Amino acid sequence: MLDTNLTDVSLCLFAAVFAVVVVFNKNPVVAAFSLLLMFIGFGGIYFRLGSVFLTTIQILVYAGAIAILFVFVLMLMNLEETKTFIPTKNFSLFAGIVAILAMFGILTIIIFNNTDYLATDKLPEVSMNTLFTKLFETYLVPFELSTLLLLGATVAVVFISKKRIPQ
Amino acid sequence: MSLFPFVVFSVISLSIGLVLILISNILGTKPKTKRLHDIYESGMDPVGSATKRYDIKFYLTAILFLLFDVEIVFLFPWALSYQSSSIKPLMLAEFVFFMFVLIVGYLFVLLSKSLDWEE
Amino acid sequence: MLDEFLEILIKTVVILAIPLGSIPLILQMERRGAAWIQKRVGPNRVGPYGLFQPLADVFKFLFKEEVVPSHVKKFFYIIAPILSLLMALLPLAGLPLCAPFFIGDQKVYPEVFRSGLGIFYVFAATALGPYGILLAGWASNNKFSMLGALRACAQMISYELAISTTIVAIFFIYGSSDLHVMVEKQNESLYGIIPAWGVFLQPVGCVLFLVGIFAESNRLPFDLAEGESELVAGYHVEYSSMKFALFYMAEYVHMIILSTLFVTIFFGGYGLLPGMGFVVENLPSSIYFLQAISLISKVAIMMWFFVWVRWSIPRFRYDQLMNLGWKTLLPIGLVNLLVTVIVIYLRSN
Repeated sequence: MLDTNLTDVSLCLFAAVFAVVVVFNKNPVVAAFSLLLMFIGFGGIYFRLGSVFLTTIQILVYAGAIAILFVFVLMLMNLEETKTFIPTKNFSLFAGIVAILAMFGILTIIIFNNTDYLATDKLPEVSMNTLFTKLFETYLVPFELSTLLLLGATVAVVFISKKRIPQ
Repeated sequence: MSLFPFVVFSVISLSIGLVLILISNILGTKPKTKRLHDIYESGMDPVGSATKRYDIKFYLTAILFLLFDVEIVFLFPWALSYQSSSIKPLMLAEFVFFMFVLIVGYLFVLLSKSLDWEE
Repeated sequence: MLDEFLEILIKTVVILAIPLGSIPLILQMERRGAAWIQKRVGPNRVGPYGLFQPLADVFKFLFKEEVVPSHVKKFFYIIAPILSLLMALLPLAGLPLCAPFFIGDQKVYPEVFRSGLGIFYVFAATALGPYGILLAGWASNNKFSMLGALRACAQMISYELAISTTIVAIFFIYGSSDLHVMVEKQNESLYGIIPAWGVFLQPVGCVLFLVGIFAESNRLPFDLAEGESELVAGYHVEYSSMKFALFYMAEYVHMIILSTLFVTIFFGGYGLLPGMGFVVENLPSSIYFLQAISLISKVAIMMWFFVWVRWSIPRFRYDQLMNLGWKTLLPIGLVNLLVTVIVIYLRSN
């Protein structure tokens, strides 16, 4: 068929390139748009792995809502003022090293604890309904708790936006 | 699963826009006056710049949309799996609880006047 | 492999050609319709009944002076309209024009991108709609553009919530996210008299969705993004010639796609119009063609409805618009969902 590993590789490259742009681009709005493209790339990867529902969530929530929030916030602020903030060289070097070490540490832990799950094969034919049954029967309590978490977030958002900074 | 049809479709859609702009770039006349390149502000000289601070209401709208969107996305799998489920009363109870919390959250936002645009 | 590629190519071209080709017709319908509602003559000079007016417009857009203002972010300024059109066209790949048919013994689906996502694909692709507008507003570097883009985007996401609640209710009723299944279920009949269209099963949801698509496509009475008296033309104020036309096309494609989705969910989709059954009995092979005709005529009626509303209802004020979305439609949607679920649960017991 027309789909080869080429599609997978180019999808991963697509996501990786825009991830790099997010980190290195100096213009925050461009970075936010790259973030959007990265999310879309992730959606494609999930799709290729056979997880249709995850693709939907990825596009609807991450690309359709979270990235919009980022773009929005960056447009609302006065970006000319923020351009003057340049982190000192030593600090960014230190932060970079810590971030890289942390990433490798987390990856090592994940890889050594979950060797069974690291199959490179695609998911077995899991229909959406099997997944949903699991969500609403086995993982019922976390599902219900997630809504409480979102309620908490709503309250927090309202309080943040109501806070007045005294002139 | 195959992404190929999607790729073909997007490439063709993208090229429609590109080709149209290219054609108009070739055929269109070039502007002769410098004034055309100024910021449009109804013929006046522009006052201030575009990168000013905008109302926080927009931010609030976006983030509240995000929160409610996540909650409603949670309901998609619920609605799709309800009819084939063997434990309908439990599913209903889950749903009612979920909706209850969602509506409480909504009422909180409403009563905190975060949704009011007129001041 | 070549066959597969050819199949995709043919589907893509057909699916793209129908909406893009009908935009000039819709434009002319809108102008003549507006003139008719306002007791004017309307464009009637170019060709018979002014039918070639849209063609003249195309040439005008192509030959127009192309201005790229000096203060814009040039790269993003140029790709914004292209992206806008792309984002508007993407959902088309998931919309079915007719029922799946057989070529030889191979089942062929009319959608370009059949992914098992069904309506999710269309919905997710529509959710990307605001980006073209946001990019245009930001790249233009103009107060009016920026504010217009922010307004348009805030409005689109607000009304998306109301639409989402309706879609949950729809999923609940049909038990599937596949548009073909939805259409099949709507072809049955209720009590033997009326078709089981979504509009009879979900009347409140139907109204919510209808209001939602007006807001999502930035059409009057919700075209606050381009409120002339406040923002001149909103996010495309700095655009001219073909780039402006692309935004225009994107808006109309958006309208067509949302109408198609609306018709597919609530008005039987490509289900045959009454009277067509007779033709199918005599000529069984024509059914897929007639299905496409049915869908297109239903969408055409929706297009006329857009024009009708445009010249009947004045524009909202921005706070009224946000209030309608957040304080009226969203709670109604949530309550509608709750009531639907409980009623169906009680009835099934």
